Amino acid sequence: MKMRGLVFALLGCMAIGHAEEEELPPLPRWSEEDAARLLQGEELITDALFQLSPEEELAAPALGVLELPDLGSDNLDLIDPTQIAEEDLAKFFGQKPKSFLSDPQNLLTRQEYRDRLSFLKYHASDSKVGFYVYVFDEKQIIPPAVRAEELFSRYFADDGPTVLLFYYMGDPKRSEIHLSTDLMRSVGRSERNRALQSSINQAIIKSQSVDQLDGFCVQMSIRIYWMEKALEAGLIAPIEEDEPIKAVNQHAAKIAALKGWWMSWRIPLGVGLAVVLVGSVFTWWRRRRMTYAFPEFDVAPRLGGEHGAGIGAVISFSSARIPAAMQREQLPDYSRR
Amino acid sequence: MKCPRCVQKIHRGAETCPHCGFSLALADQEFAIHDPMVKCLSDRAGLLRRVERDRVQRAIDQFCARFPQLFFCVHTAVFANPTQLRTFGFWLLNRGVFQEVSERANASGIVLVIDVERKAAGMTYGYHLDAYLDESDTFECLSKAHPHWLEGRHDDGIITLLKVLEKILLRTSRQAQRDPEKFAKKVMSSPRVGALLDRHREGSVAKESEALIDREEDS
Repeated sequence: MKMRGLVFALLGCMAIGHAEEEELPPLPRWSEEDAARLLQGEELITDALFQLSPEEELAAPALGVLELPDLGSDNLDLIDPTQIAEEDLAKFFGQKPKSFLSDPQNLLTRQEYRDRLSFLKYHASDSKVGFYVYVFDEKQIIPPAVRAEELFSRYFADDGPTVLLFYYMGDPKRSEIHLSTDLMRSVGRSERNRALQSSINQAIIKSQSVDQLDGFCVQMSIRIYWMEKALEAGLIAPIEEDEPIKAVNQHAAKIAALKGWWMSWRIPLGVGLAVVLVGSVFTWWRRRRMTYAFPEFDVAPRLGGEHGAGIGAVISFSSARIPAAMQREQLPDYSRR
Repeated sequence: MKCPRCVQKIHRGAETCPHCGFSLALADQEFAIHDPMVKCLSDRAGLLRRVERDRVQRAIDQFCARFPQLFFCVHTAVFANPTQLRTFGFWLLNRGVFQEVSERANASGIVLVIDVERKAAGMTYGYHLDAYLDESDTFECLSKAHPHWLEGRHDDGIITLLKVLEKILLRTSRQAQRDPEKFAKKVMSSPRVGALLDRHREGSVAKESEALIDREEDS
């Protein structure tokens, strides 16, 4: 039985091999002429072995053009980085913040948001002063219609002392803090400014914008602790004009101030400059045409000269080695210096 | 006051230099060959190119326009001996006929003489400027022109000199308008000296001296 099985297996293999042999192209065969040409060096073996049949030659790939999707003109409109969308504004200022951290624009990832919110919640659990953080993008500008006093009166009137922080991701120097009236009365503008500045200082030493927010909030929380102490002690700061303090980027503020100054003074300046210019030209022209006179005196003639005997200096310029300064003393024969 | 030839101090009103005996009469003999008819810019020695002459002429015209009483003359020449630079300036100022400014008195003139051979320049001015210019002023003008002349830029040197001179005269003109007395004192002889001169001219001093000598001889 075993022998019969082996025979069947061999027959099967041979049948498969024969079938494969039929599918392959025939092997090249050598003729006498081929051998003679090979010996004479007219043909190489490689040429014969690897010569492709005409149907096997690869066709050149067709050059195709990558078709890009038509974006359309509407898609090219750029969003102004200073603008805040209407719906986001409504989420920011149209309602009381649902949590201590307001980020309707999702500038923070969910994890980042949760981490910062947990810190603010920890602060809230430890302090009587509410600390609400509004997160904006780096260059966004809050519309001037948004007023902190209005926010306090509308949403935080019943909350006791509150601190609102408008924080700009990536640009902590632009941050703004607003204190509720009672807290402001106790702390005063100078302390508020110091708190803001120290928080900015803590933020800007970090490189990542999220870390900057962390640093800012931690330092502000510390400063709020001392504000709370002052409030509890019943301290009253000198009454000052209540204006929102903006730690605006100083460079931008300077430029804006200069622009404003220029816009208000450009006409008077232009007129003044024109007057000065015309005056200078007129003065120059008048001086150029001005003549100068000398009072005349009678002078006794000398050496027989009727018109003059005023002897001035003589200077030699024959040699650069004798500078003018060495020729001040006048000699009869100046050539013998 | 200094003698144009020996540069020694002489008395105001001296007819001849007590040191070297120089006077205008001697200068006349010395420079008789020179033509007294000159222009304000007479480049007899051919020192300046035409363009340079035009530049200098414009500067001179401007100077003359600014100071209507004065004029400025540039004269280039070659002299036989060094002393002639000053004496020629003195002679030219007194004997010259300055064609473009004939209506202005020679006493209001300033003459710049350049000795091309020895490479030297000197300034002379008339009596009207005695109160307003002195040797140091003219030296300042010449020293400012000196660097240009060393480099052979004679026109630049003259123009620079004119500018410095203009500044000095502007300043003194303003001062003189404010305080003419100050400048009058510079040129006026003191009364004592003036009286002595008058007496000299009248011959009374000589007579007194003779009388004194006679008395001494008699005694």
